[in-house]
Amino acid sequence: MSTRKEFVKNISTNSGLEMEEAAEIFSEIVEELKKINLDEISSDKRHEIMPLIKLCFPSDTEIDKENYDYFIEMILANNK
Amino acid sequence: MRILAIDDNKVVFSLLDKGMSKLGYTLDHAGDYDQAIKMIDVYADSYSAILIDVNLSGKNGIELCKEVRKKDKKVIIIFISQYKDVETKITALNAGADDYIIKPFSVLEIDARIKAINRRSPVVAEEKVKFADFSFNLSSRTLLDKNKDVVKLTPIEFRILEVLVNSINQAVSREQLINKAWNRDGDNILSNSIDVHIMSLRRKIGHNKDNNILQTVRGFGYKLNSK
Repeated sequence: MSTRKEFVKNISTNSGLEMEEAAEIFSEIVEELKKINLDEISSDKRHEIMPLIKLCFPSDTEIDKENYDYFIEMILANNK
Repeated sequence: MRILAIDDNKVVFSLLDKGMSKLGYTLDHAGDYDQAIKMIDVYADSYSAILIDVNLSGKNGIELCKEVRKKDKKVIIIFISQYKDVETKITALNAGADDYIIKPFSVLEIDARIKAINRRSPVVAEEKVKFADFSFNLSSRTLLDKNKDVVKLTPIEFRILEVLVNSINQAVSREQLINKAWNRDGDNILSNSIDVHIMSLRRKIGHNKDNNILQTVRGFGYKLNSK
């Protein structure tokens, strides 16, 4: 199970941002994900948030439309 | 270098803004097709590169790219998109884009690609902005007066002028100036330090009450006037 620190580190690695900036981006991603209703999500919205989710995990993590809700829940459950 | 990022996701823009600013870019943001077209019309020659998301609200990014290309043949256009399929990439490149980057992206990669495109077409890198009787060349980092003589600037004066030139005819707050010119939070900068550099800059560009080239915007900051 990933921790907030690991999410931030992954964002930093994937995006080229410093850790402090990556932490701010992680908080913004969490806020964005909190607004989403997974049962009613549109295809466009899913496309929009997918890169944000991928940003939080190592680049070789397989995240697709079949399993992305699992990764969203992981982020939301471990964002403190 | 001034860049326009067109993406309707605020987090993506926030990431770009944080990352690209540190690399020395000035970033503007448009959230949809119409806003992007307006900004390109207003700041026509100011942008060195335009980053476009394929998926935009209103018309899509491909249509926007075609429209931008009609207006400006030289500006660098890079798509940043979550679509990995070859068909979308080909459509984007055929619409006039110079490159295509898949999200999530690294700002370092965007920087490297802009530089790579600039190396291939050095004319694009040539970025001159004229104000009053001066010509400010961002690529060669020189300021020329009306006789084409070089005006010597200190590194901090150059960065201050660069920030002001990138927002020419618009007011720039003291905070923005400090953050961008010093590339860090303004907390550590002595308040009067900026005034000293502005005063020196004014002397070098012949600012006076009549021409008001580098205008003080009371209670806010400064504005560089083009005429």
